[in-house]
Amino acid sequence: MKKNFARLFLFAALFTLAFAACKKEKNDTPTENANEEITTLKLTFTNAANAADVVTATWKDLDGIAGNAPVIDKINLKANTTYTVATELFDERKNPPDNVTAEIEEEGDEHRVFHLFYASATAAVKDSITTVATVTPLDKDSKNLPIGLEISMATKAAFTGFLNVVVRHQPGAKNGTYAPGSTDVLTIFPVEIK
Amino acid sequence: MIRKFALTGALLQLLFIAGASAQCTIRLSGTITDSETKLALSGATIVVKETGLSVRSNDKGFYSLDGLCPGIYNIRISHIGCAPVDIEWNVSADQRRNITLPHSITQLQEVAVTGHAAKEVTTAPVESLSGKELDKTRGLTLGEALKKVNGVTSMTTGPNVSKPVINGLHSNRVLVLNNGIRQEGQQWGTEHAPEVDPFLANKIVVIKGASALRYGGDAIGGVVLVEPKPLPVTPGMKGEVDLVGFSNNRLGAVSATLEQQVPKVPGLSWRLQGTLRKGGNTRTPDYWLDNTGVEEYNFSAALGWKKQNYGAEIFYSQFNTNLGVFEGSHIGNRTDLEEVIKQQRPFPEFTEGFSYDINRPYQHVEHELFKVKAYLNTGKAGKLNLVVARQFNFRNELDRSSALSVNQMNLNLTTYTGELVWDHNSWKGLRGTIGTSAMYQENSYKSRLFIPNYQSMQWGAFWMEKWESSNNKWLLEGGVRYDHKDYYNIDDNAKEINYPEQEYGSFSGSLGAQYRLNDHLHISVNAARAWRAAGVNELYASGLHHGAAVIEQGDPFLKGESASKFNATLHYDLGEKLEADVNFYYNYIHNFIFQQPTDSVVVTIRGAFPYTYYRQADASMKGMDAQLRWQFLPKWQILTKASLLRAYNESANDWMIGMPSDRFEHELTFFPGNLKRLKDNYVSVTMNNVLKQTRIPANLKDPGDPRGQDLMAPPGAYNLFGLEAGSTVHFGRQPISVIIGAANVLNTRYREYLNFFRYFADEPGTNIYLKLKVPLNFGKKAS
Repeated sequence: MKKNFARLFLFAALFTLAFAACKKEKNDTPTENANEEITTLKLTFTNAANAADVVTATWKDLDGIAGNAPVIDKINLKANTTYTVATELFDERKNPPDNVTAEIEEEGDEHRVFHLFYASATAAVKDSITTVATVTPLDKDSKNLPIGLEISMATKAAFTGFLNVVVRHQPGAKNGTYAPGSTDVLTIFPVEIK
Repeated sequence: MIRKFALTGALLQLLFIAGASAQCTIRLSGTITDSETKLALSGATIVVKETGLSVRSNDKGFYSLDGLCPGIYNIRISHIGCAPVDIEWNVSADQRRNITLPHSITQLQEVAVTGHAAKEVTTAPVESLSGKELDKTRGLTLGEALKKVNGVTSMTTGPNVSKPVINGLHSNRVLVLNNGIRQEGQQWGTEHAPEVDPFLANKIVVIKGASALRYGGDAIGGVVLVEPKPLPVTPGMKGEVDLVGFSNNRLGAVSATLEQQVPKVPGLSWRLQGTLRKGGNTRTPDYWLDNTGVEEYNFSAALGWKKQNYGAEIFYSQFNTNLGVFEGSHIGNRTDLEEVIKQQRPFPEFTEGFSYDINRPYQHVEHELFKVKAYLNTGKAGKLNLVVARQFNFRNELDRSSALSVNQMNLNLTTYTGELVWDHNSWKGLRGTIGTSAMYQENSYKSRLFIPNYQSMQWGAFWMEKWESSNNKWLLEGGVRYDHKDYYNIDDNAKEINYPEQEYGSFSGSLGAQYRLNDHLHISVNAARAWRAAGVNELYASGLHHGAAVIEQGDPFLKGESASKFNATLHYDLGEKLEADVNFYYNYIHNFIFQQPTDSVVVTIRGAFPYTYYRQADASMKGMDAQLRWQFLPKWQILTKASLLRAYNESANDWMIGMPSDRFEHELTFFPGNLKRLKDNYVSVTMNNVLKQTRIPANLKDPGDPRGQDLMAPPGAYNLFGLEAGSTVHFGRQPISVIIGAANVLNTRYREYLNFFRYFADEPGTNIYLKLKVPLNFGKKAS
């Protein structure tokens, strides 16, 4: 009987040891994301002939991927007009909102911003319509390739369709074209030119 | 008296827990025949040296040794007029081995007879990899190694991540037991490989189907047991060094083991083991896959103390890995993905050349296991086993570098398991196990949300019995199990998303019979009901799966899934000459949970991603696994395997998505016989023939669409050829086993349907490998 108690004690001791020997596991309370998440893309169109004629449009998704659908402004532009277009990106979940644009500028040799017109919202990249407006990038990276955060957009005839603003991330492969790399940002705005 | 004890004991133990792997009621059996006359030898004596257990064969030459624990035993078989034969038998489960004794008249011949690969005795379809077969898989991941087992395929994400798929089922439905402990890594995605070092294994056992109640009622697909060698029982220090090299990704692996039974302290033994593995970029026939390197370092330590009536063992292991993820697979959005699929090859900037560097995107995974096992003999009636374990899994997923995106996910999972099991010895031919198990789990995440924080509690109780008729013709098996699982504390999450708590509970059961028509042919049937609570990812996943470029959404209202599986196996065995197996199965899974692709998209700042969600449907899986090994000429052997599966979504009247296609494997081996210094020589050529998966669910909008509900039509059929040669080279007394070979010899370009990288890139090209195994013996020659 005594022997049985001794054995029982052995089991109990081992059991305690097993749990006591374990290190305390990490149980951090979840924090809001330490990384940046872009919530907002803002376009500012300034009429080159009239600095007072400014059109702004935003693409906003404040609750991130798994939440509600984004809020997207419609862009109304004048035909046969040249605009200077600034593209800005923000993380508006932070207070004050975090401006991400500067980071793209800093890593200009890895990024390229495209402004493409489409007749439908789901068209392929190669189907972009180049006859709607003439887009000329105004900024350059260290290798003299355009970045696209500042562009000049000369509209032509009336048009109803979509403007896609795409930020391509092309580390080590940037060559001025769309193809290399992956998409960091892809926003689709309804657009009307008249 | 004993009977009374067994009964009260059994009732008492009902209150207790379950599921340990240390069973001490193992039976070894078989027949003993004369190698010359082929006649059964009655009255042969079989002695287990370690335990002193001694039995005699009956008038049909049949013998059985009962009540053994897992371990390595030296067994001597002797018979009047025959030279005695010694066998070293590594025992981990019931086995049957027929032994032929050389007759004394031919005593001048070399004593080289001792039956062939022992068969495990159970009614469930069981296959195992050990010895030479396991050596051939050294250096591969567990998932890849298991492909050697018929009916097991692997689901891969690029060259480094692979998960076992048993008869079409995977992830949460396949239980991996690492050294007797349920591997509770994070099975929350198809790109999560099991964190197990296959070098630790001395034997890998696959139980197909749901009958392995001992290990958990949720093993709807099956169970994979990764079993290390039992700790040494004979004094002396021993070791082994494995060296493996692969040409394709210039992967090198080294693994070493050192073990000793401490001579001064009877019953005390220890083992240390460590593995390093490093590989670089993989090459397909036409291009390199950038950033597909792998780094792995693992170690384990075990200490055991064994007395006549009680014993204990402590085990600790760590698994650490960095896995590069092919850069070209981290797709920005649907448009990019479609672009890559259209091109049929990755963009050139992702296929530049060889490097060992691992950059983003990559995964860093750590797994730690601490286990204490103890047993106690409960008189002659049986043995009580207690196992407690703690495992910690840390996972860091870094997406492709970008200044802009949410690009990291960080998961911590801690699991405690405890099991108390009582094995009772033979009582009127009945042997059985009763036990309970419990598991507590806690998950926390940081950075990107995909799986919420949660806690879960699971417990189960089981009872299973096995009966063998005294004439050894019949074997009956049956068991029941109850499991209960809770998920709670789920609300502690960023973004203040609320998730409902869950509670599941149900019974599982299994019933099987085996009839031995004669010594060569037996037939087994097995019916099982298994049940699984919905997994955490199936309930709560929410967010972007970057590698796959899809949005995954769980459903908190999923019910548990239950499977009814029927197996019928026919096994024919003529020893070395011929062995044939065929297993038919039918598995009906009620409320089968799967990921449903849709054509709707979720608009995010990164563009539009396809939306997928978890749903349930009734599914049926019919299939056959067959294999034939035939020594058609004295030195020539052919091995043929076939594995067929038909998986149907009964609710939708359509095929299931993501199921393995039919596959065949043929291997022709030539054994030139022993040369002067080269022993156990073989040369083999293999052919793997995988058919195109044509059974895919139709696109609802356009049933004529060859892609079905997928982004891309399943890739075509392929044939792969392999060459291999092996030998044991003797340098004096030191044997070194050498395997040299090449996989995909013809550098065939192909893609595999079960690889999630099939959208982006081809499979690897030719891979030449060299494997060395050096056994070490220190000090005095082991007696």
